[in-house]
Amino acid sequence: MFGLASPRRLREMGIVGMNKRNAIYIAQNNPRKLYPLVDDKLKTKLAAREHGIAVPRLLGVCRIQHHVRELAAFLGALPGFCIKPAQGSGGKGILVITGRDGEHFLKPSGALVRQEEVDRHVSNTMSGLHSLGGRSDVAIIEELIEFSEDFNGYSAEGVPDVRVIVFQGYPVMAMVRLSTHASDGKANLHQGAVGVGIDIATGRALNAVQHDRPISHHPDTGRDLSQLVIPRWQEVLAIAARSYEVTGLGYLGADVVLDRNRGPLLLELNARPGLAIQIANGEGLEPRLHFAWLQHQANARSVQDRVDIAMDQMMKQNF
Amino acid sequence: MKHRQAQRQIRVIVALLLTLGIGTVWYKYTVLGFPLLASETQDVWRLEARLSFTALGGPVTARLNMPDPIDTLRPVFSTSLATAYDFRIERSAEREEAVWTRPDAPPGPEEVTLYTELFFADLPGYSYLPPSGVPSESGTVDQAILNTVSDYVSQRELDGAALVSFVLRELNNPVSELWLLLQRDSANASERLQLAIDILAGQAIAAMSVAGVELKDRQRNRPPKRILMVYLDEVWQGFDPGAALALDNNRFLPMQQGGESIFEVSGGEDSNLQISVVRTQRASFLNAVENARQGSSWLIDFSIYSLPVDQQSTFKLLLLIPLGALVVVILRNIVGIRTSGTFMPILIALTFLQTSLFAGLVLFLAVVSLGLLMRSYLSQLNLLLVPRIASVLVFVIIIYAAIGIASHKLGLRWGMAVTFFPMIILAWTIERMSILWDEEGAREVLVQGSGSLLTACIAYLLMANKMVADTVFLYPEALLIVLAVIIGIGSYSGYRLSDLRRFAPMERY
Repeated sequence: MFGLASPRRLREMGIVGMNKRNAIYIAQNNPRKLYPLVDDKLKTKLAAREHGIAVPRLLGVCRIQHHVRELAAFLGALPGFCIKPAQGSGGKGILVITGRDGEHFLKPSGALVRQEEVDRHVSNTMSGLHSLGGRSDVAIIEELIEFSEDFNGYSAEGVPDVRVIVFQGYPVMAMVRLSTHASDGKANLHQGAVGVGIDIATGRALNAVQHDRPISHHPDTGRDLSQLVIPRWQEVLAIAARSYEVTGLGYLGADVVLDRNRGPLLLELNARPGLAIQIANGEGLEPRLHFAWLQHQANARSVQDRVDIAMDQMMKQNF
Repeated sequence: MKHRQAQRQIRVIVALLLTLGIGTVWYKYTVLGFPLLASETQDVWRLEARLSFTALGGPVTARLNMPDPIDTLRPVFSTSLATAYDFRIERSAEREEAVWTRPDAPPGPEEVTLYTELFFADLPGYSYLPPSGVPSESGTVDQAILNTVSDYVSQRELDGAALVSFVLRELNNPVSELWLLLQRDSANASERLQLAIDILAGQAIAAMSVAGVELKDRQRNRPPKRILMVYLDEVWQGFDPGAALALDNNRFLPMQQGGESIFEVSGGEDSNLQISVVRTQRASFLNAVENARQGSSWLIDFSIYSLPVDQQSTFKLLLLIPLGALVVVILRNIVGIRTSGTFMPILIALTFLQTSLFAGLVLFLAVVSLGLLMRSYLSQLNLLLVPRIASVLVFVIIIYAAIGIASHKLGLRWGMAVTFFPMIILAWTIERMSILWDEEGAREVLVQGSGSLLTACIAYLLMANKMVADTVFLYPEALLIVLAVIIGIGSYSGYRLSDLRRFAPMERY
């Protein structure tokens, strides 16, 4: 009625609302002192690497303004790269260079970028222009991700990523976020990216949503979203499950990208993952979270065991 | 889970706060006689007692008996309206007197006036408390005659108020049998009163004559009235000797009894007392506060009311802020409205209190949209954070000045109210909205901007309500209830209204 769901129906479906996520899942499972690790992409990357998780290769880090002078010589040898602030949010301050045109750099759109502009971008990033609260920051220079052809036609401009919600180390729910023209190439759902729920057992698409409303085809390319299958699904889940050991966060969102050559790579981690994933899956999180909690209480298990249990049990008909 | 324990603690805290809050409000309401709502009013009597006399030249001292203590009588204040006279109130165990002195009064007519406001607390068990004991018989009538009168009265088999009325009626009737028994023809008013006292004494009823003021609205320049006070059923009950009826004790203000003089002037002659009475209304809670303060209740002694009046009004504003916070909590956590900055709407609402709602909204929109325009240009310059916000702040001040000057030239007086807006908060709001615009797009700015304004408007409507403001001021303990509600909502993990809307498509599955 009035475009509102009945609270009873939502409770029956086990939908987790904002208050419950904040007061129970985040507040009770994610100690604040663990946040800096996930809020800083460089720290996340280094910690993940230590745990043997594949990440986009780190080419260099600009820590002090002095480094900017050496930038031209350093970048000159690279065919393509990506510069991002370690503490940026919402895709802000990310500069993607895919090639060169003589003296100048090329953006994916084909626009030319001069060396001075790159230098200034890095300099601004370090002074905190793109960071949360304007804190001084470091600029990360990363290898470019060449996304797997399995996603051809599923994404308009940017790199699609897989978001997996991990509770106490168990992957509980997943979706792919596909950028659209409306989202300006970004994979953020509230900016208009498409979310496609993924079956934990198989890596196959379930439902798709844009702006919290169900859709069936990609709005820009017109491809049927139900045909989407994530390759090397078990590896994706293993990376997500292992981030629990990396961070210690009980409730987290792991963002994984699929590189054509290197396979699944951990892009970043999120201590406050959003709830739209429930709409993309057509299912509430609560029963799965409860199941994961019981498993966690019962036994300490290895990453592989947790992934196996999840793939075996985390499916719609079980709840 | 630790969660259970925390939930239990929250429940205990909420219950404690509610008990404490509601309990104190209840105590003030029932025991201290506070009104439930600040909008309730009560009768207040304004008395002007004018003492006029002819000064003989030289030092003058005028004394006027203040109203006698009654346990329900609450003087609000008393002041003197007499220039050139020193005024003081002398208190002794038995009486309170207003005293005017002047060392060098010129001969001729003089006048001093006592201005008093008072009200009667509506307490059960009212009683007039005479300072002295039961007066003795005067002995103006022969004992034998009195005995026959006693027999005559006893035959009627009346008691209490009916007996008193009968005696007074008989005395007022010049052809009654009573006069025959008294072996007199008639008597003047004060003699009749004395006779009534003697006759009642014969019936073992204590009575005395009391002078005072009858409280009727718009009484001009009346002399004090003399009535009969009778001790019936362990309370003193006044009787109007003329009408031979019982008086409403809360409508008679006793000022003099027994041998006391009601007023006294030394250094003057032909003195005369005239009293005017006006009835007015006053917010009941002001009376209640006064009332409780005189009862020296610790709850009042250690409350806001013990502060000087100007500081009380500061707190009156501060006490409203929790209500604003409650509105924000409800709108964010129950409804799910997004606002820009958590408590920014409260500050805007406080500003609206000073500017009025319409002017406030217009000015806020003007400042913020001009600020955003300027800030969008600053974005291109890629300034660092602090200099960027500082520039926005400077620009906000320039907008203030521009709006102030423009509205002055246009003759729009409310434009000047722009200065009430907290500029640092506005600068931050502009900065945050601008970042939001860059990161999330114009739609999100509109959503959060209108969410903030809606929250501010609702908070304003609540805080601007005089009844709400006065009631919170009256019962600051109610803030404990507000705190209990806020803590309760803090542990609410159910759905927000926005969740219900957002997850509405889920009902298909």
